[in-house]
Amino acid sequence: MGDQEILDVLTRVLRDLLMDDSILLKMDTRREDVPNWDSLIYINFIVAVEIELGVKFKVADVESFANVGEIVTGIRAMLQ
Amino acid sequence: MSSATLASKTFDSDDQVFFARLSGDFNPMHMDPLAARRTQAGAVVVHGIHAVLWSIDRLVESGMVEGGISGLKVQFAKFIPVGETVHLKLVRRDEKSIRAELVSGGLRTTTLNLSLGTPKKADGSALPQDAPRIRLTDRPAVFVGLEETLGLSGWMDIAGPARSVESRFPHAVAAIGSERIAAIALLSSFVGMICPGLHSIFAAFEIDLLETPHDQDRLGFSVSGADERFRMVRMTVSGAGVSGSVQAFLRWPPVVQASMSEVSKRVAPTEFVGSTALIIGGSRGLGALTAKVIAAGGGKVVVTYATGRKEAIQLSEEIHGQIPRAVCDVIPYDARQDAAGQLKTLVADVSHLYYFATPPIARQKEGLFTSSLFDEFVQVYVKGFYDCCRFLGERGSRALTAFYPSSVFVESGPLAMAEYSMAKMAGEILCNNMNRSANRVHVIVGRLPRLKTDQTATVPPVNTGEPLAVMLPEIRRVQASRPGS
Repeated sequence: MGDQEILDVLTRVLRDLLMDDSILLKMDTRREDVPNWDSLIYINFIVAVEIELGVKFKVADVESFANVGEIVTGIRAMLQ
Repeated sequence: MSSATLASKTFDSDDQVFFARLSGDFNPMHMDPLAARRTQAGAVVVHGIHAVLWSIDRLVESGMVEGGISGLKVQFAKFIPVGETVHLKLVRRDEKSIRAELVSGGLRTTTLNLSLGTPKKADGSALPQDAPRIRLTDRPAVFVGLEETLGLSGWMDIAGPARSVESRFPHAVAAIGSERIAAIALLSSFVGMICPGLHSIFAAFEIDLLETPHDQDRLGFSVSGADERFRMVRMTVSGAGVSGSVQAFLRWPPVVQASMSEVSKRVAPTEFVGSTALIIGGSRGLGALTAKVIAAGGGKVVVTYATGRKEAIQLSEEIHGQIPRAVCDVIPYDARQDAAGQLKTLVADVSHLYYFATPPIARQKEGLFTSSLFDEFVQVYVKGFYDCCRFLGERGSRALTAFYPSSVFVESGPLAMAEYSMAKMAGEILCNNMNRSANRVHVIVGRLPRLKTDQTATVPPVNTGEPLAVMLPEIRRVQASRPGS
């Protein structure tokens, strides 16, 4: 699975959670760049992504992701 | 994205009582100001489901829900404090769905997505056959660990709530029926009273409306999964014409600081003899811990509270229970009010001031900077501190050493806490200036890390330090400084 495919999944999951089809995640998108992407929604997002892609993050990783690109990198590493 | 305001409402305490009686959700977060201030919400908040039902009622009344509702998906993102006006905004409407949101104080608190159409055919109950009937009391279930919730299931009769919903939500009842509205109302009880119960935060739910309910007169739930990492629990719900899932968080219970007996093992009994400490904001958290430490070391303490009188008295009793001869007085004090007026009757000759007064720190806000929030922090952390120091410095017979608890956030604060960090930095500058001026107050500033207190017991969890291990050396540093004595 390539980075763009992972990015597409992340975008779809977040759109679904925030019920906002205008969201378009990029590798350098940070949480504060997306309106209403607060901490509770972030957890829901991580859990939904895990279910969708069959991966599981460590809590420390989840807390440390600075942007979407780091999430993509983390997922790619788990899928390899 | 443009959105039109359809309706506005300010939920008050009567609304809280009404919905608690209707749904059975008497969780203190919705009912008890003192208990609610020790939760992540920091104040009494509206039942999220109440706001949802009010929204559906308004949407139906507006005529936008022609053809019926076939499903409902809701995300709760922020709390709605009681007394704050909430606005229902229409975000989008097409032939298949309506998306709306509730906005309070400029923040989106709740997102609703109504699927339009006729209810779906029921596919049978997803609940265990042997699920027990639940009879609610006014005391929520208490779970501390998520593992305790695994395997939980049960059901509740909807007849009572179904009789009460029509008067309050007539349009919603006309659209989808009193049983389904009652079933949605009961979701509040499932989360707030049963699972996770007392320490819960309702995060989201998604339900289909069913054409021929399998269990027409009851709503059941079953825990379908839990995630320990995030303290999150998932449930399936079924019955009374709805079927779907609910997601909630198990928040941390109020933090209990080290007991007097634990503190006494770490402090020599005469370590602080001869000192009298005024502890502003001492009824709980770091203030209460500081009071225990100084009392354990033989110092006299005067503990102030703003709203937590009961907690301050309990603290005094705990100190006296361990050290009967200890001196621990309790007085009210509001750091936003004039210090002289509140402390003029203080008998004790104070040698040390510990200033832990604080508003709630982690706040719901919009954007990078909210000036009213900054003003609120400055009022307490800067003006209130200076006012208190000035009065004590002028009044006392001996020089005063004051402890100013700053924060590591001054150096590396998260973006979401800009106002807090800025106010603490302003406080540090004030302290520095006070120490450079010729007055009888010497201030010691401690940049404290995030410590385990009610203020940091959040969902999602954050890494925090152990308060006693951090505070003990700070207190010894402050107590060792007795200028002019």
